Amino acid sequence: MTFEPQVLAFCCNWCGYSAADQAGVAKLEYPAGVNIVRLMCTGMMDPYYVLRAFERGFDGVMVVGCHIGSCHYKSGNLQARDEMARVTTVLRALGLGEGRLVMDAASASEGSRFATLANEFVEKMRRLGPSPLREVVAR
Amino acid sequence: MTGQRKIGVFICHCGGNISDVVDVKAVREFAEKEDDVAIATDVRFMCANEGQERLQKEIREKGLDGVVVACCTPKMYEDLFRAKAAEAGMNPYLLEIANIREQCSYAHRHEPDKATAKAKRIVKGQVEKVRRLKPLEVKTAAIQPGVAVIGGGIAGIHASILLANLGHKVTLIEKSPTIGGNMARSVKTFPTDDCAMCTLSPKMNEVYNHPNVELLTYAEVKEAKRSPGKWTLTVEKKPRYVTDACIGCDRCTERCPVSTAKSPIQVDSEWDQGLAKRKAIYLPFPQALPQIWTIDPDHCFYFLKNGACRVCSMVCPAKAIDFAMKPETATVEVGAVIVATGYREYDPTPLAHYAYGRHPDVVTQMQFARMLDPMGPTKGEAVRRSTGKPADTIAMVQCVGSRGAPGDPNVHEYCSRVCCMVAVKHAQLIKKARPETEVYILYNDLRAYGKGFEEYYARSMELGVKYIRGLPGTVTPDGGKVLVDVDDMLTGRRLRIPADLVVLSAALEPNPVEGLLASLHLDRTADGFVKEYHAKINPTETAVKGVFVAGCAQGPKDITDTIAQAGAAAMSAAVFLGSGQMTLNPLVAEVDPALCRACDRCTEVCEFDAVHVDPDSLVAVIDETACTGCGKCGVVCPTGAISVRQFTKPQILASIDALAPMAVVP
Amino acid sequence: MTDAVSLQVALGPAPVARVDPALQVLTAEGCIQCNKCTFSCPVHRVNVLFSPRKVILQAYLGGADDVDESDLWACLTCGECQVACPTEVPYPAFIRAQREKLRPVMERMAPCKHGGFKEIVSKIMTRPNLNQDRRAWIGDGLKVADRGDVIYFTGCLPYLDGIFSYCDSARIGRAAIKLMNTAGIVPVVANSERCCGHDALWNGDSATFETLARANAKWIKETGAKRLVTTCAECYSMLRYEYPQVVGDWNGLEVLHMSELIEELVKAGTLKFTKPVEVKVTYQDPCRLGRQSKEYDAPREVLRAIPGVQFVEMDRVRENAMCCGVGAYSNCDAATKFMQQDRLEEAASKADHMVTACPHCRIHFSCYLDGKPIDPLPDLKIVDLTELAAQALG
Repeated sequence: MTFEPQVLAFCCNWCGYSAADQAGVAKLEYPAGVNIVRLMCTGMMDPYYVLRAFERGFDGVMVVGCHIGSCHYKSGNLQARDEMARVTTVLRALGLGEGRLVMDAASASEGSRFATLANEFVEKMRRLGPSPLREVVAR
Repeated sequence: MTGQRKIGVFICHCGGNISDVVDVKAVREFAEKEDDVAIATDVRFMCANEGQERLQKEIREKGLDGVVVACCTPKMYEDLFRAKAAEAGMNPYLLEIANIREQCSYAHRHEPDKATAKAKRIVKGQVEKVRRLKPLEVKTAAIQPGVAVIGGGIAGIHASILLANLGHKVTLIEKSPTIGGNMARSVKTFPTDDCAMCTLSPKMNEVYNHPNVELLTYAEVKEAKRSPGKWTLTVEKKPRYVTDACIGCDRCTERCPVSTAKSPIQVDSEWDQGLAKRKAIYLPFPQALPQIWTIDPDHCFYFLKNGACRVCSMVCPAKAIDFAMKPETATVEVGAVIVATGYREYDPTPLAHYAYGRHPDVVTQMQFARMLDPMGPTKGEAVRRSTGKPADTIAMVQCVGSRGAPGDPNVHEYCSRVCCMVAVKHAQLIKKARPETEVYILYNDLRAYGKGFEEYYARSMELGVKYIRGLPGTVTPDGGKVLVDVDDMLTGRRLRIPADLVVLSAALEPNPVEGLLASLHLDRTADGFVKEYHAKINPTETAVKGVFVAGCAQGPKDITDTIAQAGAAAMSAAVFLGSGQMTLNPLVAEVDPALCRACDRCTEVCEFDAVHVDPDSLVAVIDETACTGCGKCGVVCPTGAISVRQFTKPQILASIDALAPMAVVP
Repeated sequence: MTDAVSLQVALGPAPVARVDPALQVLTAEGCIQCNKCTFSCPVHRVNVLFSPRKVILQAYLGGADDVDESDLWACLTCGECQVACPTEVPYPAFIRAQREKLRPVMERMAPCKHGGFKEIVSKIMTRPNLNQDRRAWIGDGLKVADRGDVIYFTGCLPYLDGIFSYCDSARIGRAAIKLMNTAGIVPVVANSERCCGHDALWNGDSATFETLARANAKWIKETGAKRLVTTCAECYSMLRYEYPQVVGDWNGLEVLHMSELIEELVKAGTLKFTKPVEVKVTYQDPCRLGRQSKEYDAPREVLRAIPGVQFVEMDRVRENAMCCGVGAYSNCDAATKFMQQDRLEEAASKADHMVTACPHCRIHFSCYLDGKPIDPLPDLKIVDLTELAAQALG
C-alpha cells in the first residue's frame, strides 16, 4: 500500500481559507489528505497546535495566511512567523526533521497558488516518508 | 463531557455538487453514531426553503442546542443559517458549517472514496467543536450622537452640511484661522472655469451659519480616545488675541508696522503662497470665515518686544483686541469622526535641476494661481517676479515630485491626478487673458480623464497652448531668462525654451497629520495617505469603526471627486450614527479573570489598543468595540486567560483531533 | 523529620489495588483539622478562600469527589503544608491522587499555555520511534560521549528555549558540562533520553509517567553508567525517588543533583574555583530538591565555596522556603503574580542575585520579571547555581 501523507493546513479566514475555496471553485484538485482548519488569522497559531498535530499523527503541517504586509489584522502573520520559527527549533530537537512545517501565503484570489502549495507539500511529505510518530492508536 | 448536548447534523447534497462525489448517506450514517448527535439528516438543498424549514423544524421539535450544516463554504451561508437558527430559537453562535464542497467534493472529484472519508472527518471535527461552543450574547453599545469633522476644506464643509441637514450635531474643527482650505485659493475650477470662491463661498456661509454646526477654527485635535460607541477628542484652541467683537473694518491691518518697507520683521503671506507679505494682525483672505482677525504672536512686536507696540488695539473701534487671551482646551464627545485633513503642495526644492528656491521666476502651480487671481499680488497678471514685467514665455513642467522612481526619497511614486488639468486650466486662462503669451506644457502623459476634461484640453490646444512630450533635464537661469532644456520625444529634437516664468506642477502630498492619525488608530497606505477600508469597494470607511475619510486626505483628487466622496463619507457616518446602537461582534477576545496574571504581554502585541490591564483589579480588560478577534493575545498569554470566542484552544484542538490520522476512521 | 519518601509509597501497596486512593492517603495519616496547613500555604496568603484544611474536610465528609476542581488545580504541590502539619498529612500526594482519579471527567482541558507546551512535548516523547537531536544546544568546545560512567540527564533543556525565550536555559546545561569536563568527566548525553515525566505524574497522568520511566530506565541501564547527574530538581526527585517504584532498583546507579556533584568534586580537589565572582546572592530552595528531597545543604556548600560570593539567606528558607509560584506548569493564574512579587521582594531585600537550583524556578521568576511586576522591583537577577559555579572556573 502506498503511503498517503496526511497533512494539516491551518488557514486564515481572509486569505488562506478563501484561497482553498477558490481552488475548489476552479476545480483544481489536490490530495484528500490535506485537512483544513479555519482560523481567523494566522496570528492565532500557537506552537501547541503544531505539536499536537504531529502528536496526533499528521505527517506535515502547513500554515497558509495572507502575504506579509497584507494581513487583515495588520501584523498577525508576523507573529505567526515568529512562533513558527520557535516551534521549528523544537521540532528539530524532536527529530521531526526539516520541512515538515511550512508557512506560506495565498491571498483570497490565489486559488491556483493554494492548490500548488498543497500538491507540492504532499509530494514533499511523500518523499520524507511517514512521520516517526505515526501509529494508529486504537480507541 | 458527552451526553449533555443535542446536536443536529444537516448534510447538503447541493444538487449533486456534493453528492456526486461524496456519499452523503454514508456521512449521515456516520454522523448519527457520534456522541450527542440527536439527529443527522441529508437534504438536497440546504440553502433553499426545504433545507431552511427542515433546519428550523428540527431545532424547534428536538430542542437542539448545536447544529452542524455540512455544505458549501461558510463564506456563503453561515450568516443566513445562523439567522434562521436564531429565528427558530437557538443561539446563532451554536451553529458551525462543515465545508464539504469547495474543500472536499470540488477538490477531490476523482477520489470519491477519499472524499467521503474526508467529509466524515470534517463533519466530526465540527461536531466536536460545536459540542464545546457556548451560546454568545450579542451585545450592543449605544453610539454617542454627534460627528466631528476634522478639516475645514471643501470635503469637510460638504460633509458637515449634509450631516447637519440630516439633524446631526457636527463639530467642524479647522487648524487655520479660517475654513475654505485649498479650494479657496484655486481662482478657477476646471473644466467649467467657474470662479472657485464663488462656488465655495455659499457653502462656507452655509456651514458657518448652520444651527447644527459648531465651528472650531484655529483649533487642533491633540488627542483622540476611544471607548465603546464614543470618541473623545481633546481640542486645543489657539488664541487669536482678537475677540468676536471684531467688526472687520481692517484698520488694524492698515496700521500694523510688520512687513512694511522699513520693518525688521517681514512675514510671508500663507494665503499668497509667499508671493506677498502680510501683517502680524491679519485676515487670511477677504471671504474668510469667521470674519475675525488673528494676531500671529511669532511675528508681532507686542509679543516679541514686551508690549512695545499696541497700535492695533489703539485704533480698534470695537475694542476687540485682547492680548491676554490664553489657549483653551475643549473636549468633544462624538460617535463618528470624519478625517478631511486635505493636502499640501510638494516643495520642489530638493529637485536641484529645477532651480526652485534658487531663482524667483521658478514657481509652483499654487503660486501661479495666486498670480492669476485678479485680487491677488500681481492683479491677475502672469509676471516675472524678478522684474515685475509680464511674462512673455511660460513653460509649465508636469510631474514634479510625482511618478518618481521607487526608492528615491525626494519624490513620490504615485501620480497626483489633478496637476495635468491644473496646468491645462492655467495655460488656457493665460492664453485667454493675454493671447500673445507663449505657453508650453512639458508633459509625460496628459491625463484628462474626467467629464469634460478631454474637451477642455482640446480647446486649450485650439487656443494655442503648446504641448511638448518630454520633461526637462535642466532649468537654468541665464541672463534675463530661465532656460529650459528638454528633449521633444515626438519630434526627436532637443529644445531650449527661453522662459520668463517656469511653473512647476508639483505633487499633492497629505498634510503632516501623523500624530492625529496614530491617535485615531488609522493606517496609511504606502503613499502616505489615509488607508481606506478597501480601495475598491469601500473607499470612505476605514478599518477603525466610526472613523471615515473624505477628500484628498485619502488620495489626490479634484473638487468633483472630493465632493462626491465627502457625500459618501457623510452618508456612511449617518448610517452608522442612525442606528443609535453598535452591534458588537461577539467573536472577540475574552478574559478569565481567575487566570489573568496582569503580565501585560497581551497589551504589547495588540495592534488595536483593545486590551488594557486595569490598574485596580490587576486583570486585563477587553474593549469589545476595538477588538477584532485576531487572537494574537491568546498565543502570548502564559496562563491561557485570554482567548477568542469560538476559537478557544479546546475548540481548535477538538477540530485537530477529529481530522487526525489517529482518530478512528471507519 | 522523616526521610524523603516517594509519592507512590504514600499511595499504598500497588496501583491496581487502589480503592479511592485519595481518601486512603488522608486516612493513613489522620488530619486533626488544626488549620496550621492553611496558614503556611502560599496560595492561601494571596487567596483567602483557598484552604487545604477545608479541602480535606470536604473529602472526609462528602467523599473525595466533593473536592472542587479549582481547588485541585490551585494547589502548587509545594509541600509547605506537610511541613507545618503536626501529623504530616501528605497533602500534595492526596492532590496528585485526586487529579489522577478525575482525569477522565475533568472540565478543565488543555492547561495553561506554557503547560500545554510541556505536556505535548512530553507526550510525544512516549513514542518509541523518536530520533531526537538532543545535542544541538551544546555548542562548541564541550565534550560529551555516547557511553561512559557518568550520565548527564538534561531534562527539557533542548526544548525550553524554543518557548521560554526570556531566559537562556541552555546556559545551565553548558555550564554543567563545562564543570564536568574541567573535572575530567566526559558525561553521556543521550539522544534517547526522554522527559522525566515529572509534570505527567503530578498532573495525574501516571500512564504517561510510567511509559516515560520505562523508556528512560532502558537506555540508562544500557549505558552501564554508575552515576547519573541532573541540573534539574524535578528530574532529580523523579529519578531518585519515583523511578525505582516503577522500574525497580537502579542496581547501584547513583542519582545526584548537580549541586551534590559539585560539592563532592570541590571537596575532593578535582574541581577548583579560581576566578572570584563578585556578587551578593541569596538562595531559593526548589520545592523538589529541598522539602521533597531534603537536600538543603549541598547547594549552600557550593555557594560558600565560590570565591567572591557574598551569600545572604532569606528569612523563609530550607523547609520553610516559599515556592516559586507554579507547580508542574499547571497552576499559573491570577494568584501567581502576588506570590512571585512577594518572594522576589524578599530576595531583593537581601541580595542582587537570586540563585536557583532548578531551571523551572528560574523560568517562572524570569517570566514574571519579563512581564509587568505589580510593584517596581529593584534590578534582581535570577541565576542558576551551576551557571554561577562555572563562572568561577579559570
